[in-house]
Amino acid sequence: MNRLAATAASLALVLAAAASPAASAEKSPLTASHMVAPAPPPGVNTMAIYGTLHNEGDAPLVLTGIEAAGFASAMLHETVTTDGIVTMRHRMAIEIGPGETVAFAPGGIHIMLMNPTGAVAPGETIAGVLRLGDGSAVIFEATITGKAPMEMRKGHEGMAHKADGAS
Amino acid sequence: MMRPLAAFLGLLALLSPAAAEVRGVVLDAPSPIAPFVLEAHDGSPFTQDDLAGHWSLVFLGYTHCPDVCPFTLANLAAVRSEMSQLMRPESLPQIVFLAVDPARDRPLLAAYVEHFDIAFTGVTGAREGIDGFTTSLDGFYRLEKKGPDDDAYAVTHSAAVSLINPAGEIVAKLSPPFAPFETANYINRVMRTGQAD
Repeated sequence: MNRLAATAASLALVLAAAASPAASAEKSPLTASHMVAPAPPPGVNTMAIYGTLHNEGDAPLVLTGIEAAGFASAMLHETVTTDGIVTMRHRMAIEIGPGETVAFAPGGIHIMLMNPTGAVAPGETIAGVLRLGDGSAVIFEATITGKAPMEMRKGHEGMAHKADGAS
Repeated sequence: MMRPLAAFLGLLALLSPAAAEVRGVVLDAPSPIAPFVLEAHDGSPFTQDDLAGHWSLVFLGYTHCPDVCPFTLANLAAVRSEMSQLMRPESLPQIVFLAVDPARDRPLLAAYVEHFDIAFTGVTGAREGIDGFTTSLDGFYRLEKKGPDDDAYAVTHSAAVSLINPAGEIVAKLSPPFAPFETANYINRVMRTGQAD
């Protein structure tokens, strides 16, 4: 496979990965929207997915992992700027409270993708799975965009939150 | 499937309330750039003399940076585009990307900077030159390489963009976010008056 389009094959792989005893037919209270992935410059094997996660339910959710078809690895990352110095942290979990929205945005929390197995081209999509602490999973699609500038914003909205992080 | 532009505009609409902020500071006194020797992405030498005679915006980063560097460079391209509405083309500042991870950056640098704007200049080279220019910028970087076989390391680095005057002196520093319209007008004011307000 040399393209990242959400072909039946790649989506099937993601769906298979999402299957678990705890994954029920019930609609997940977690929604993922506006998921986009700016295409990386030529030769660069890292890129990020940005977007919005929202917990429509009445109980907290804990995002514990990411999988993305067509990439060797996908991780929850957070860019942290302290005294003008930028560092990257691997987030092990992100709690999303009832009614809370979490923005994945440049300069903040994002999904980091590494080592694509094929070409990455604007207009195609990346099929992915968000894994939650209760064993459930949510499938999403991120659209690969051009290099258009984006606004920086980070963090949660709607209520206080607690999340675990590790460098 | 959502089309790319619609998806991008959707995210932008969600995030736009934070767009108007410019975090900049004009230095009390211009800070000179000490002599350094580096190499531009086209293979030509690049020294402090290449900062003289025109305005420059300099950002320090690395090509394998997944988040802040492409975000900043894409915004600087948009800032330069906005500035083209405010001044003649020959007055536009050159955009310089100081790539501090030459082992991985050098082979990619030409295609990397041109991905954002064909007018950008990527510079890298020997550690001594990188460190000298970084020091003059009051910048910082650290390769987070965990061992000789680690080829997926991150680089901790400063986020600021330096505005350098035609005398080759830093006159202002800008920090993210870089909202294109507001940042372009901020830089234009500093270039014309030496003041941010």
